[in-house]
Amino acid sequence: MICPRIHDSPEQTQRTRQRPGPYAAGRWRTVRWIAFVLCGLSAHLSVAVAQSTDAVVVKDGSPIRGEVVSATRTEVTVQGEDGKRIIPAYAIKYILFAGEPSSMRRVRVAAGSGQADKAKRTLDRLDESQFERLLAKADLQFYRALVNQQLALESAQGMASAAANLLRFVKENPDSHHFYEAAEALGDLALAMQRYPDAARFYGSLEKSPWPGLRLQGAILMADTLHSQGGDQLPEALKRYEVIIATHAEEEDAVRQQQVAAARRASCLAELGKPEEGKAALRSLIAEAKPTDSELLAVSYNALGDCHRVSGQAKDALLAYLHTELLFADQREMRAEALYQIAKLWAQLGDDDRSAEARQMLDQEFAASRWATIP
Amino acid sequence: MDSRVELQRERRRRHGWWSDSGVKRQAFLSRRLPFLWQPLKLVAWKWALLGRVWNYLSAPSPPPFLLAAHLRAAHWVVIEKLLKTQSMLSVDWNRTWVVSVAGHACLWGALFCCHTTRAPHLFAQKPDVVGADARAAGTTASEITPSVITAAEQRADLMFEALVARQYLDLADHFLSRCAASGQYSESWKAGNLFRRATLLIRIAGSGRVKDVDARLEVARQDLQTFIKQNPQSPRLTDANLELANLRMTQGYRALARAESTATESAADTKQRKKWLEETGVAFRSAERQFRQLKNTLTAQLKAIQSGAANDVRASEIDTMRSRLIRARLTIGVLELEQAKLLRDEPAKYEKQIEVALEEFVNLSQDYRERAAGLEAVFYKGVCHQEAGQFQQAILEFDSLNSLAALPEPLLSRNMSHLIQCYLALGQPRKAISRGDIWLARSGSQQKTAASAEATLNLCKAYLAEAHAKNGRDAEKRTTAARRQLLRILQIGGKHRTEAQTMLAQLPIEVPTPRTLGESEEKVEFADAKVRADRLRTQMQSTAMLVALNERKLKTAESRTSRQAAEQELRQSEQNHSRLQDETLKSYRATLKLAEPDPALSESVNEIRHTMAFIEYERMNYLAAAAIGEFVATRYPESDHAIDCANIAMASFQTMLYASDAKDREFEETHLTQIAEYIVDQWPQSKVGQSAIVNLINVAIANGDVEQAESYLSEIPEESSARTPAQLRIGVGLYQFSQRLEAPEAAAVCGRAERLLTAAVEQAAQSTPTASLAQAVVTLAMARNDLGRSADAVELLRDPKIGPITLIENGDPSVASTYVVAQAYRALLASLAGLLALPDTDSGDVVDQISNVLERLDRQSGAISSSGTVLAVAHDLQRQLEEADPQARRKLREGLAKLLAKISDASQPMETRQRVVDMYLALADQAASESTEDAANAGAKRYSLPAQQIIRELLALPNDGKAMTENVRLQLQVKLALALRMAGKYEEAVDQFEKALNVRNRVVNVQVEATETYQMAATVGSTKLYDLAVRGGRPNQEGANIIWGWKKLSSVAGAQMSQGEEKAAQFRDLFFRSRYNMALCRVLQAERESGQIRTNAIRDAQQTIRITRSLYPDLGGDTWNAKFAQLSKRIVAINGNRR
Repeated sequence: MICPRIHDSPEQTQRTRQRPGPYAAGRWRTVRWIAFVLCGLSAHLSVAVAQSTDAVVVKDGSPIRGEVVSATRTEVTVQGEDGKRIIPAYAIKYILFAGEPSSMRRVRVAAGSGQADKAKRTLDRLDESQFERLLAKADLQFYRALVNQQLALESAQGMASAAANLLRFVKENPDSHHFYEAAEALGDLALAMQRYPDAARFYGSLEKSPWPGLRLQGAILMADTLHSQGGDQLPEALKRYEVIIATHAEEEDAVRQQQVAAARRASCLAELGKPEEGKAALRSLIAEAKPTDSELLAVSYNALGDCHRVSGQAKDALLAYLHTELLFADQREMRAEALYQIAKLWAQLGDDDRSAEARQMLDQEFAASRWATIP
Repeated sequence: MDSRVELQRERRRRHGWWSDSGVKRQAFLSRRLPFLWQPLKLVAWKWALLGRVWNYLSAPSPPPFLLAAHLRAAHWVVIEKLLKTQSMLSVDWNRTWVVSVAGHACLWGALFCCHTTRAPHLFAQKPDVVGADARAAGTTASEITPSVITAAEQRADLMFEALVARQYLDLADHFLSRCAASGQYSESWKAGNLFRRATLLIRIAGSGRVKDVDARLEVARQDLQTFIKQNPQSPRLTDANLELANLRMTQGYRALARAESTATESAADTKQRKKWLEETGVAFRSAERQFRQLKNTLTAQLKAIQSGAANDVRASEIDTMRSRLIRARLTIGVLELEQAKLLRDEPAKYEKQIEVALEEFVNLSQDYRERAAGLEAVFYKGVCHQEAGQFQQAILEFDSLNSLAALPEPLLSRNMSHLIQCYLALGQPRKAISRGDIWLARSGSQQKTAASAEATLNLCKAYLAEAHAKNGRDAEKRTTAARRQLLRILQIGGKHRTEAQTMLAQLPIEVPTPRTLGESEEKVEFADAKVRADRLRTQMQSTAMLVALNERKLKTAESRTSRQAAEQELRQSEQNHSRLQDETLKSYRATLKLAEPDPALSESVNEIRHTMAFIEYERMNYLAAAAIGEFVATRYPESDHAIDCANIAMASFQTMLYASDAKDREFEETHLTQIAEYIVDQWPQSKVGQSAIVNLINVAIANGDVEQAESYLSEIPEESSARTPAQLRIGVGLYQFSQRLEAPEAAAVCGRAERLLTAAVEQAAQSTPTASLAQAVVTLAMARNDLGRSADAVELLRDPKIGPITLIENGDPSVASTYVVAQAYRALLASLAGLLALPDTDSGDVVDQISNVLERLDRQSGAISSSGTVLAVAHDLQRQLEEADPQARRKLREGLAKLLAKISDASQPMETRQRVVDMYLALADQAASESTEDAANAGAKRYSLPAQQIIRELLALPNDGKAMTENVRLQLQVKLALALRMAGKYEEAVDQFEKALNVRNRVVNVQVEATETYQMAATVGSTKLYDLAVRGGRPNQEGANIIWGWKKLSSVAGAQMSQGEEKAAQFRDLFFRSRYNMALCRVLQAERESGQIRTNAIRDAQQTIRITRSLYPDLGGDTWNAKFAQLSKRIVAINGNRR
C-alpha cells in the first residue's frame, strides 16, 4: 500500500515541479564544501597516524607497518603487531621512519624516479636535527649522497665529490640496507669517469649478494663495463652475457635480468658484425616484455637499433631508437644513447635539421652522459 | 473490392512475415531477439515496397501522370504506396529506418523506370491523377464519378501535405501546377491552390536551398492577398491571414538583418541602411495590423461560441482558436517591441513604445502563465526591462524563468543570453558566470542552436571580463574556459562564428607554469603536470582551428588588400600554432617523466602518447608518430586510444610510402603491411580496419602481387559495403601496374585487370553510381582500348546507365570531380582515336566525333582547367595522329590546336608553355609532310606561328635561376629557330641558331639543324647558300665559322669515331649523313648552275664520294650505300647532260 503524502498541497506540488535553481545550487555547493573540509581533516588525521610508526614500502608499493628494529646489508627486521618480520633488503623500495619530516617521502620518491633536482631542493630545506634515530639519519645521509651522484651524472660535474660522499656513507654505515644500492651508484660514477677497474670492483660486490636477481644484475653491469670499452673487450663481454643467459634461473627477477642480458648480447653481436643473429631474438624479447618494463624495452629497442644500423637499414634503426627516445622517459642513459644514434642516422638520411635537433637535445639534457662526449 | 483488403491479401501472399501466423513470429522475435528483429523488419520492408512498386508498374491499367518525369515518377509511386500502407501497418513515420527504406525504394524505382523496356509504354499513357485513384478504387478511367473526384481531391490534399511534410517541396510545386492543369478537379478545390502555393513558397524560401528568397516571399504575399480578397468566405481565411501576418513579419526581420549587415558608415551605406530600416518598419506595421485583425476575428469567433451561437464547433477547434489568439497577442507584443527598437534615436517615442509592448506582455503573462506563450511573455517582459535599462527588474524576470525545470529550447538559451547580458551591463561578470556555468552543465553544452551559441558567446564575454579583473590561476582558469567555449561556438557555426573567431584570436597565448597555476614547484606530480599540458593542448587546438579558418579566409579573399591581410593573419596563426605544438609536446614529455609504472596510470599515459603521436604526425615527423602509434596500438590493444594510435601509425607509414623513392620502398611497405595486418586482425569490422585492407591491397598491387591483393579482398565480408569498392580498387590498381610493364607482360596484366574490372563494375552498377565506380569504368575503358577493343571502350563510356560521359552530360553528382571528368574525356578521345587504327572504321565519322568531343571540352573549361590534363589529352591524341588517314589527320590537328590554345596564355606555368611549344612544333612538322607542297607549307606555317609567339614571350622573361636559366634560354632559341624554319623564314632562323651557337658552339645537334637550315634555304634561294651549307657560315671575331656546315661536322664525327668503338657507333650515322649531304649539296648546286661553278661542284661531289668510299668501302652500310649510289647516278646524269 502506498502511504499518502502528508504535505501534498498544490503549492508544494508546484514547488516540486521546479528544478533546483541557481540558489539551490549554491546550497549544494556549501554542503560539498563542508564535506570536503571533513574529508581533508580525516585525511590529515590518517597521515598523522601513519607517521606514528615506521613503514617499509616494498617494491610492489605495499607498506609493512611496524617498528624497524634492525637493518643489515641483506635484511631489515620490523616489529609489528603480529610479531617480527624479516624483509630482504633487495625487496625494499624505501622505508618511512616515524617522526621524520613528511617531506622525506617526497625525497625518496623523487630520487627513485630520477628527479634529482626536485629531491635536492627538498633535501636542502630539511633540518637534520629533526632526525633523531640513527637509522633515519643514515637514510638521510644515503639519499643526500645518492642525489648528489644523480646530479653529478646529469651535469658531468662534481663526480669525484659525489663518489667521496657515497664512499663515506658506506664506510660509516657498512651494514646499511642501502649497501648494494650505494655500490651500484659508485659503479655508475666510476663508469661515467671511465675508471673501468673501479667500476668492475663496485659492480663486483653486487655479484656477492645473496639474491640471484641482484647477482645477475651485477654480472650484467660487469659485462656492460666491458661492452662500453668496446674493441678488444667485446668478445669477453659477449662471453659474460652468454654465461648469464645460460645460468639456471627460476625467480621472476632473475629471469628478467637474463632477458636484459639477452638484449645486451644482441647489441654486442651487432658490434661484432653479426647483427642478424640478434634481430629475431630481440623482436621476441620486445613482444614478450611487459609494456611497463621500460628498462628492458629501452635496452631491447636500442639493441635492435644497433642491429639494423650495422645491417645498413638506417630507417629501421631510426625507428627502433625513436621508441626509446620517445616512450621511455625514465631511462636516461638509454635515451642518451638513442639520441646519439638518432642524430647520426638523421644526418645519414640527409635530414640535417632533425639531426641537429637530436644532437642539441643530447647535449642539453644528457651533458654528463658518455654519449654526449662523443662527437 | 476495397483496395485495403486487396493489399492485405497481396501482402499475406507475398510475405509470410506479415501473414497471421507471421504475426506470432514477429512477436516472438521482437520480444526475444530484438537485435535481430530490427534488421529483419528493415529487409522485409524493402522487399515489400519493391514488390508493390513492381505491381504498380506492371499493372494493365497505367499509372498516373506521376510517371511523366523519370525520377519524380518513382518518388510518386513510392510515396503514394507508403501513404496507403501507413495507416494499414501503423508505420511510425518518425522512424529513420522508414525514411531510409523510402529513399532506397525511390532510387530503385527511379532506376527501374529509367531502364525498363516498359518505360516508353508507361510514359505514353494519359497523365491523369484520377486514373490512379480510380484504379486504386477498383474502377477504370471511364467510370469516374463525383465521388471518385472527391476521393481524388482528398487524396491530392493528402499527397500535397505528405510531400510538404517530407520536404519534397519542388515535387509539391510540380504537383500543384499539374493539378491546376487537370480537368479532373473541381474549381472550388482549385481556388485553394493560391493558398497552397503561397504556403509552399514560404516553405521553399525558408528551406535555405534557394537564392531568390525575397522574390518568392513577395510572390507568396501577393498570392495570399489575392486569395483573401477573392475568397472572403473560405474556411481557410483565418489560416491565410495568419500566414500573411507571419510572412510580413519574416519580411520585416529580413530587411532588419540587411540593415544591420551594412558595415560601413559611408553615405551610400547610410542611405541604404535607412531604406532597409524604413522597409522593416513598414513590414512590422503591416504584420501588426494583420495580427490585430486576426486577433479581432478570433475574439469574435470565440465570443460567438461562448454565447452559444455556434454549437457545432468541436472542442479541439476551440482550443486551436484560443492558442492562435494567444499567439497573435504575443506576436503583436513582439512586433511592438521590435518597432520600439527602431525608434532608439527618439527617446521619448522609444520609451512609450516599450511601455506599450510591456503592457501587452504583462497582461499575457498574468493570464496565461501555464502556457508556453505565457512563459515567452515573461521572457519578453525581461527584454522590455532590459531595453529600458532596468536591469535588476529584467534579471528578476529572467531568473524566474531560469528556475523552471521544463523551459523549452530555444527559450532557455535566449533567456540565459539576456540574463548574462544584464549582469554584464551591471558589471557583475561573476554572477553571470555562476548562472552560465549551471546552464552549461544543465543543457547548454549539448545544444547546437544559434540561441545557445549566442548565450555561450555572452558567457565567454563574462569569463574574459572576470579574467581581466583577476590574475594568476583564476585568470588562467577563466581564459581557458572562454577558449573552450569559443571553440565550441566555432564548431556550431552560424552568425556568431566570426565574433567567436575574433575573440579567440585576441586571447593571449600563455604557457602555464606551476607558478601561474598557483602550484608549488616541489609538489608537481604527474596529474598536475598533465592538467597543465592538457591546457596547452586546448590552446593548440584553438590555434589549429584558427589556422584552418584563416586558410579559408585567404581562399575567399577577393581584393588584394584583404588577401594581404589574410596572409598575414594566416602566418601569425601558423607561427602561434607551431609554437604551441612545440610547447605542448615538451610539456607532455615532461609529464611522462613523472609517470610511475603504475597500471592505473596507463590510460592517462596512453592518452598523452596518443596526443604526442598526433602532434608528431601534424609536424610531419612521421617516423616518430609511427613509433609512438605502433607501440600503443600493439602493446595496449585494449586501450581506448589503441585504434586511433594504430591509425596514426598506418597513416604515417602510408605518407612515407607515397613520399619515398619508387626504387627504395621496402621499409615503408614492410611496416605499412605489418601495421595494416595487425589492424585487420585486431579491429576487422571497424572503419580503420577497412581502410587497412585497402592499404594492404594497394601495397600488394604496387608489387604486382595480385593473388595477395585478392586474398586480402577475401577478408572483407561479402555483404560489406567496402567490398565492391575494394574490388574496383584492385582492378584500377592492376591496370595502373600494367602501365609500368613492358609488352607482352603488360598486355597480360591489362587483360586480367579488364576481366576483374568487368566483374566488379557489373556488381557496382546495381547500386547508385559513385565516383569510384566512374573512375573504375574509365579505367576499364582505357584497358579495353589498350587491348584493341576501342569500340567496346567507347560504348562503355557512353553507356546510358554507368557511362561516365552520359553521367557527365546528365550532371550526375557522381562525376562532379574534375579529375574524373578529365579522365573520362581523355579515355573517350583515346578510344575514338584508337578506332581510327581499326580497318573497318569510318574515319570521317570518328573524326567528327573527336571534333565534337574537343568542342565539348572547349566549352567545359572548368572541368579541364588543369593544364596537365589538357596536355595529357593532347599527348594521347597526338600519339594517335600517326594512325589516321590524311583527311582525318587534318581535322584532328585542328582540334588539337584548339585544345593547345586553351593552355598557352601567359598565366600558365613555364613548363606547360614549353610543352605546348613542343606540341605545336610537332604539329607543324607533321603538317609539313602533307602530300601537296602548298598544303604542307601552309600547315607548317599555321602551327609554327603560335609556337613562335609563345617562345618570344618566354625569351622576354629575365633569368630567375629556377624556371628560366641560361640553358632553358638556349633551348628556346633553338626551338624558335626551328619554328621560323618551318614558317620558311630561313634567314631569321639562322640568326637564332647563330645566337644559340655563339654561346655553346659544340652542341652537335644544333649544328646539324643550323646546317640543314642553310641547305633548305638554298633550295628556295641562292645556290651560294649550298657553299654555306657545306663550308659553314657566320664567322666569329677570330674568323672561325659559328655554324660549322657539313664538312666540319663530318670531320668532327670522323675524329670522334676514331676514339673507340663506343664513339664510333655513336657518331657513325652523323659522319655518313654529313658526307652524303656534302655531296648532295654539290649535286643540287650543279643541277642549278652552269659553267665553271657547275664543273667545280661536280668535281667536289665526286671527290667527296670517292674519299668516303676509300675510308669506308661499305659506305656506312646498305642504307647510306644506296643513297650514295643514287647520288652517283645523278652525277652521271648531270655529266651526260653537259656533254
